[in-house]
Amino acid sequence: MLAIMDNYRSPLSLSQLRALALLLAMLTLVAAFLCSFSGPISVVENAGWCFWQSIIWQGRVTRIIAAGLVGGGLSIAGLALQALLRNPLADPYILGISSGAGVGVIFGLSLAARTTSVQVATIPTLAFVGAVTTCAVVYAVAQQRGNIDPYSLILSGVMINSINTAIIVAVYLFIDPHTLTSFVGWSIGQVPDTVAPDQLLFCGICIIGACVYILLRGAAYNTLGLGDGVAATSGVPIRRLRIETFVCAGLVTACAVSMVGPVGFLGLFIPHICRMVFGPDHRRLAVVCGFVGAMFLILCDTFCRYISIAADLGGFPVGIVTAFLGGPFFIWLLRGRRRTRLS
Amino acid sequence: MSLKPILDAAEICFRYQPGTPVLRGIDFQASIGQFTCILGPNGCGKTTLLKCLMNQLRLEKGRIDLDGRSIDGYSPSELAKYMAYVPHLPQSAFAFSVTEVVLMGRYAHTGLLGMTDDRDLKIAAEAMKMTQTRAFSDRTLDELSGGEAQRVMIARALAQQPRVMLLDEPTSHLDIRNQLIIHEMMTRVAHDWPMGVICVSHDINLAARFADRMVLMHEGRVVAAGTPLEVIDKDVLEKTYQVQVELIDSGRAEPMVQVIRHR
Repeated sequence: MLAIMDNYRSPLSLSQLRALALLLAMLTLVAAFLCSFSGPISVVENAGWCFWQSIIWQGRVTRIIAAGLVGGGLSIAGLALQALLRNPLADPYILGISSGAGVGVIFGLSLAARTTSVQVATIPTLAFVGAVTTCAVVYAVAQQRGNIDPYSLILSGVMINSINTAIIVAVYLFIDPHTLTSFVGWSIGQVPDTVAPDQLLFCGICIIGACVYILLRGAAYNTLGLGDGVAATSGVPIRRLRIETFVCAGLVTACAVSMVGPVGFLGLFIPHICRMVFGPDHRRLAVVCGFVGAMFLILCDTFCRYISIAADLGGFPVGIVTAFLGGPFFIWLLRGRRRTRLS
Repeated sequence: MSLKPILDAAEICFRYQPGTPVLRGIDFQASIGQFTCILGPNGCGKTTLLKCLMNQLRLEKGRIDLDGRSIDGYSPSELAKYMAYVPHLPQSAFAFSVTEVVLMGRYAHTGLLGMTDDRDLKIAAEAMKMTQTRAFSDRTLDELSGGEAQRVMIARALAQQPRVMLLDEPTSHLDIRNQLIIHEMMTRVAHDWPMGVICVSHDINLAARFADRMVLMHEGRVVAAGTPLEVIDKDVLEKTYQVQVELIDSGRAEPMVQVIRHR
């Protein structure tokens, strides 16, 4: 291979991708395993079946799986949006997709409080409708003849975000004040102590399915970086790719928001950090972002669990941690882009 | 020389907005082994014609056949095996190396994950050899000069192994040396590879020197088409560009156009 390409590092191969996925999957499992056994209760002293059942499985493992799915899913959704829009500032949270899903979740929860016919898929479905509607509105506002100005996109995201937030707050007013506290945590992104297994299974299948689709479109996202004209004549079905990516990003965000709420900036900084370390190839990045995002949110949530116990709080939202990390990162990116533009 | 056209457009009409037609019944043919230059003043519809030929715009009227079949019947990946495009300005949103960019030309030929194999690498290497881009194969597009970056984009288009290559003003931002290099390259590609090369250009003299065929457009219509000798006509050029020109003996078959003043 090197004889063909004298001074070029070997391009990405399937075996490399497989090895990388295996390594990262193992690391994620190790992180999840360690986190499930870390906590104030000693495993050795309480090693009975009830303990395993109540503390480790219901109280930690489901929570860790949810955090992993949300972390990995949102990172891959952010990666796909950045590639599709050729915009490093794109992320489900900044574009308002998370708050759109939030509107759906709030309506779903209000419905659940009034009727008993709410199924496991009802809330994620309503969240998906909210997310996809937001995608469509943000895209329609920001685009002109198929071209999207990066700043118009962010501005339309901010605008839609504020409308969605207003709807969520308006619905809050009609909610029983006793349940309001749990909504405050959810509204910034908080992994609940227990996640119902059927909800976890449904959301898990949706998130993993959408992420696999994004992974399979990695080469198309690479080509799209050269411009619409080049991508279209290279065989990329741009229109279909746009719709499918928004649907996948919407689905991942909807499931994530219905489980833990709108966790911010995760889809922004995980793809960026992975790109800095592993290069720009989206086939590799989709794998890396999935596992790194999962590990990151599992660790952040374990940290939140410790804070919650130490400070004797009912729970500590993981969204606070991601906002403190992601907010400054977003400002740094924005300033970097402005400098590049001026120079 | 009569060649069977690989791309055959007849009576094509297009408008972006109601009431303002951009293309008003264009007939256009391109053949394998032929380098065709499309010329004309700004806003005459050259780039729009190129986009129609690439099936990126929906025609109001007329038809375009590619290899004897309507272009509408081709799927994006089928079309990519016939046609490649080189944009006006090379751009890459992400920091891919030159080789990675050239390998992207193999997209339509790869499988589900878009993984390239040794055959793809060999084809990319040939394209890079042809365009003399191997010396900087590890650098990114941002690190290259305008001429080098444009050669990379041509290499990427060649890696598609198309039968027609379309270029949109590929040399308008380049110095005269790079303009010559790119035009020589397009001639070589058209004649030796061989494929149909269609290039939108503003430089009449370079087009006349290198192209086998010239198409002169004005206000959405073809006003002259044929060999450079047939198209370069003082009256036609003056009327099309609204300038006063002089034709000077260049020492070759085709004359050189010197612009005196605008009207």
